[in-house]
Amino acid sequence: MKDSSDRDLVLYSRRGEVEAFGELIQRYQKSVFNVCYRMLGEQWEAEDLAQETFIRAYLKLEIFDLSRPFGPWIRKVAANNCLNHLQRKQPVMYELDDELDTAPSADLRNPESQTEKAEQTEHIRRAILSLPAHYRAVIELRHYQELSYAEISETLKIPLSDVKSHLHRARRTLAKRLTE
Amino acid sequence: MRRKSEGHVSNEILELYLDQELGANELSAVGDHLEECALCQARLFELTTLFQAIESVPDSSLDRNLSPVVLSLLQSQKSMPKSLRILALAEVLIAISIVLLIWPLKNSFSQLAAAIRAVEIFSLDNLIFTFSELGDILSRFLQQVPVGIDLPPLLSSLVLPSFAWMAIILCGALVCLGMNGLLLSRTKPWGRQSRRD
Repeated sequence: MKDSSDRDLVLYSRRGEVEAFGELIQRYQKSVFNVCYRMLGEQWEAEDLAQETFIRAYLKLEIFDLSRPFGPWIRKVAANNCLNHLQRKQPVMYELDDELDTAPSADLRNPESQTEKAEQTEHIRRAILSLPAHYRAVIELRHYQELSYAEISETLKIPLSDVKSHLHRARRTLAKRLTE
Repeated sequence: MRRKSEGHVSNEILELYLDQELGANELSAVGDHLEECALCQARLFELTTLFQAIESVPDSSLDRNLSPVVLSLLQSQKSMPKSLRILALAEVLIAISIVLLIWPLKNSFSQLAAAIRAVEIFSLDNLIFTFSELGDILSRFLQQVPVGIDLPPLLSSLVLPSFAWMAIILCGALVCLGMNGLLLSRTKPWGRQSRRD
């Protein structure tokens, strides 16, 4: 299984071989978790939503286009899933001085020299989490998943004009909050 | 192309420029303007810095493997095995057959329904009543029962099927019941399990 391509693993999963899907989870769980963590800000919640994303993805495997890469697709599913989750629950806006349930950074080689950078990172993370859900989603899809406006429009099922205005307003808000 | 009133490029357009979402003509027009306008260059630099800041958030590490939990949830939510699906389909077919078999009795059923409808237990006006009126309503109802239901003629008008026919219907119903039991015993409950370890 480990040597199989993503495409083959999707095909095996469609035939009901859950071990193949397990391998896909192993490959993409970190990036899916990070999408959820950036959008939700709580580690336990991000893990929960990452699991739910994989379950949804498994149920939607039949409609996955095999000519496209699996990674970007599952990350888009994750972003959409998080957006739906945020819209379902009461809106939680983080204030910039709120303490977050912080997941450990992937790079902890030089903890002392990283302190200032870590603080700055948390400041940016909190600023993103202080945005309304649909602004967070467009920031995630544009800046972290590097989707085009058309792809964001297709993923979130919103008009292109909304993608432009959401991105512009989200960035304006972020610029303001990051300079406060 | 929209520009600021002073002839500078608006922030919206600068964002589209950075996101490479402008058409070829707009792109070259903005590029030309940026070459000669220090103010727009400064704003473009601010935006670039903001973009870099947003994208500087590093990935966080995931300290547990999600795979076992997801796979166990998928196993529990897996659809019925093929044999059970065939069983369920057979059950549906038997149920349809029973309906077709008893279809000739529909006249008898409609007579029965008409007889029951003839008994006006409560009129809508009587739905709201005080406690003291309850006795009156009950006594009126009891007086109406013999008028509305005349059971012996009703029963004699029912067309009863032959014994063989009844036996077939009964056997079908019993087979359906048996299959239901089998399906219930073989399928796992569709419960939403906790996703946490």
